[in-house]
Amino acid sequence: MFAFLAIAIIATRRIRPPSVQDLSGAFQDLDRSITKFVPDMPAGYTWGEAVERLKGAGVKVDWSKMESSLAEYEAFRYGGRDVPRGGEDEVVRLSMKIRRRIVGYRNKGKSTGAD
Amino acid sequence: MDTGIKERVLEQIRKVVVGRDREAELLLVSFLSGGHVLLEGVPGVSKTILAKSFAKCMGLEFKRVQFTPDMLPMDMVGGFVFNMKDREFEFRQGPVFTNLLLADEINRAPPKVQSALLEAMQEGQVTVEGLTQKLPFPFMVIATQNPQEFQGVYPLPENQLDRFLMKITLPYPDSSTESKIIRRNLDEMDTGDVKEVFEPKELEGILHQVEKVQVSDEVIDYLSTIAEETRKEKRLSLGASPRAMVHLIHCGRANAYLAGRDFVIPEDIKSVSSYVLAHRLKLDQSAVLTGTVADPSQVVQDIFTKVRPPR
Repeated sequence: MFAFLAIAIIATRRIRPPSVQDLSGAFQDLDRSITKFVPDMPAGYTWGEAVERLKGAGVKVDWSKMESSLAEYEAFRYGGRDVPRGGEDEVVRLSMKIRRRIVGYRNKGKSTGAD
Repeated sequence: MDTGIKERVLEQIRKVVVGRDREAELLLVSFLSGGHVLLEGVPGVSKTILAKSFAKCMGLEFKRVQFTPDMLPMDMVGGFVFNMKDREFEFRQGPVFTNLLLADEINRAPPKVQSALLEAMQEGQVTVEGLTQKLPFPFMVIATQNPQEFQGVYPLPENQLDRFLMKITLPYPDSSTESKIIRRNLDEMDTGDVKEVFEPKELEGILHQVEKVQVSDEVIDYLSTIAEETRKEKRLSLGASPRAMVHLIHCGRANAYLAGRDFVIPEDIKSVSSYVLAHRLKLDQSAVLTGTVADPSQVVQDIFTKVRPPR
């Protein structure tokens, strides 16, 4: 009984939302989630490829919000714009979804990564 | 920034060429990058009509040269002829003096003619008997070659291949596309249906804006890492040249511009990498003989799969 409780607490802690400061932090966290929990995503993936892959895998987030956050992040990351304010919620949600799915995979022994 | 350019061009090309959107898009990227293209494909896969319709919709002056084994350099760049009236030699421009030159079956021309194209492609000028003449701006060469021809051909050497920004292979169309092509050609079709989509001034402005697209240091470092990987790759005996990487970044800029951005993202580079790099790489013969690799594009893809882009 206590063992189950302990496992449940550990699992909850593991998928606790990360504390991110801004959109840049959210994308760095998403990168960590993808690298760690989507095993078949190659090291050389680009953000566009990741979005396509996760969308195709049926991960349910608001993809239009996600894509507009990505566009703002790219403008900051590669275009030298200021750090965008807001827009990180959907990125964090996606990151959490990826992590939760892998927990399911580990517990049930089926499905891979974000599939 | 105008993001409808690609659609405007494709709309016109689709009027006469079926199922070649990607190839037309790559021609546009090459043009905006200031580069030249090698189109490879068996006869009858719409290489020539694609080049012609592209030139027409871009509003470019177009000339076609059919390369043959008995050709001389002056047949292409021009030469001095004696003017009986003025009693002096004067320079008569060859077909290279145009905006878009279609060098049809380039591998059938002898090396002297092929190398005469080098200066034109690289410098945008030609020199004949000490007289240097600037070519019109913009200047683009679209060369074609048939990969199935082995007799009476002069394969392009590595240094010439390196001058081509992209090599685009045109495969046979799939059966549904082929049906469309046959159906469309029941009626007479020519490039007359294609309309110019740009005024010369507008085109100049676009080329100018592409040059302004910025590239971050991290993206440049990413490219350097890719170049290094091609040189370390065991399956290759010749890796990517610095010129190849410069070409790649120009394509990245053009892609970014067409996507409506004023900065390059790694995807802009990755999406055209095989077209820009594969034809410059030389496979290691032992890797080919052992069946490890058969196509340089595969090596390019493998490298881009393993090198982490800035994220």
